[in-house]
Amino acid sequence: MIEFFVEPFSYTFMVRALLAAVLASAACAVVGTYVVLRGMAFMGDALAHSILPGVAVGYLLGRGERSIVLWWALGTAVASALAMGAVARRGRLREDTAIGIVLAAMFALGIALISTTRGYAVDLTHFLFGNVLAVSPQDLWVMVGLGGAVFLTVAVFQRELLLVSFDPVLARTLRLPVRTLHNLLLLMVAATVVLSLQVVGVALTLALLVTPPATGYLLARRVRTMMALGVASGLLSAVLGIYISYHAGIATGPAIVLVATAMFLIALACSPKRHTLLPR
Amino acid sequence: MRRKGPVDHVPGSPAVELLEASVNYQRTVALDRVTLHLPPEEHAAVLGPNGAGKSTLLKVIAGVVSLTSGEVRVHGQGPRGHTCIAYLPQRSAVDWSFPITVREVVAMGRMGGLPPWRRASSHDRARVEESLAQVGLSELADRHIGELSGGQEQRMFLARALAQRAQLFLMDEPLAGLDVATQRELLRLVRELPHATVIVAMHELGMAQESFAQVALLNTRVVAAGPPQQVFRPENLTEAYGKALQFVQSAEGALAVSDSCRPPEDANR
Repeated sequence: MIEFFVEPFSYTFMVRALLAAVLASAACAVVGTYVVLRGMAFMGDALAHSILPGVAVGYLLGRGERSIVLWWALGTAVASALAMGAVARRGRLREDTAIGIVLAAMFALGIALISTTRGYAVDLTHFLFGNVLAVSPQDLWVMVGLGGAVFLTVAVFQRELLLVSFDPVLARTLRLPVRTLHNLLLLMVAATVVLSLQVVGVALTLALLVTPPATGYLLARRVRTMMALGVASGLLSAVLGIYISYHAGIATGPAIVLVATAMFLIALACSPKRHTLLPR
Repeated sequence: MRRKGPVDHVPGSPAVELLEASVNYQRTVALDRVTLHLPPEEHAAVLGPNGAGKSTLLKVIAGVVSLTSGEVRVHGQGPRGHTCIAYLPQRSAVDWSFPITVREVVAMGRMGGLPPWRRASSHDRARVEESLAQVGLSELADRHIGELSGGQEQRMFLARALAQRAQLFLMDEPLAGLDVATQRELLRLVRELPHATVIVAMHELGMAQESFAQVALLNTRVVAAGPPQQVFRPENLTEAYGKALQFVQSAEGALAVSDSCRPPEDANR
């Protein structure tokens, strides 16, 4: 029995994988709480997909030096968030239309860039679905830095973020810098997207960002509780996912996401406010 | 994060002053050259059909919506510098399943001008409890906001404005969905607000007549403003409401009956 739990971590790459998964899922749950409360799931998914060209450029330029990929990804996510805002304002389009245009364009650009390499399919799979077993010590340090920055920012601005999420009009009559806070949140989403790149990949990042906080939402009456439950659910998904992945030979990213989904479904079944998801 | 300190009130100036204030959203006109004055500590009701610009008017005064042309002043200054303005949202504009308690909502009123790293002081907390008590919600402070009745919802926002130490209360359709007894109770609470200037957007002509000394009829522009007896005349009402309004002759005089005043519940959720 002990073997079952200990054996995977006799390999250092498995220890790094666990640390990376734990870090990414905790940061995603914290930021994802605001994503869920503010109805920004599509924006989160779009930012996740739009980092692909940055990943590709970092990958093509810095063969060998892998953690440079993460910085390129972060830069691309920030640029995409800005582009979405600009397209929506300039074109007087609905925000979701602008997000969709930027998402598709960036994703296509990323695939186009990766398709110029040999071994195209293998590389693309890693970016799309993550490859947590390949996390290097340098990657892990970058992730610790990004994760720390996210936790610190939320700790400092939690009351402001709560206020703008619940009542943006009040935030403005109290003369809070609403635009700056929104941009700060986008920046944090960008950071978490980069954190999850190697854990669950571009295509499944949304799951870490939305599913555990949604589990918390179903069970909590206060945002703090929601966030705590979201983090707990995210952490448990990361750990269980890695065990399942190791013992059953399933890809790690999908294993983590499926565990998170199972926990959401359990919460849905016993939620005291299940009625909020159903039509009244 | 930089915040501007609250601006000073110019003594002797009206609490609210709009001069030829217009707002255009894309191609539709929401407010058309509105000119209104309200002295400090007076209470007024703004009435008009849906889409008349009542919400827009309140948001302009709150400094949340920008004017396309014209001017708006609150206590002699532009609205954007004030932290004494409380906008109480329409019930349909609030996410009632948001995970938050009544006390937390009221405590939000204390967040103006506080740097993010400073926690709420004991003074802030005392002010929150005091405000909850003032509207009679102390017992329900730990309830989730979704568990409140319609009247309690409005009192919660009133408490938040009190915690904010607001001097100008802008209430967006606070009476919608309340029964008449609860409407009266809420308006009594509003009348008793100390040193408050109040503007209430509403649909209830009778309730406005009985509770407000000053009313304005709005239909993107001001149709009439002044004491209710002068404003609520058939020609003004017809001009504001158009065909949505019918008149019935009865022994006591003319009765105005409107059939599309109340917005469909939860229409803009």
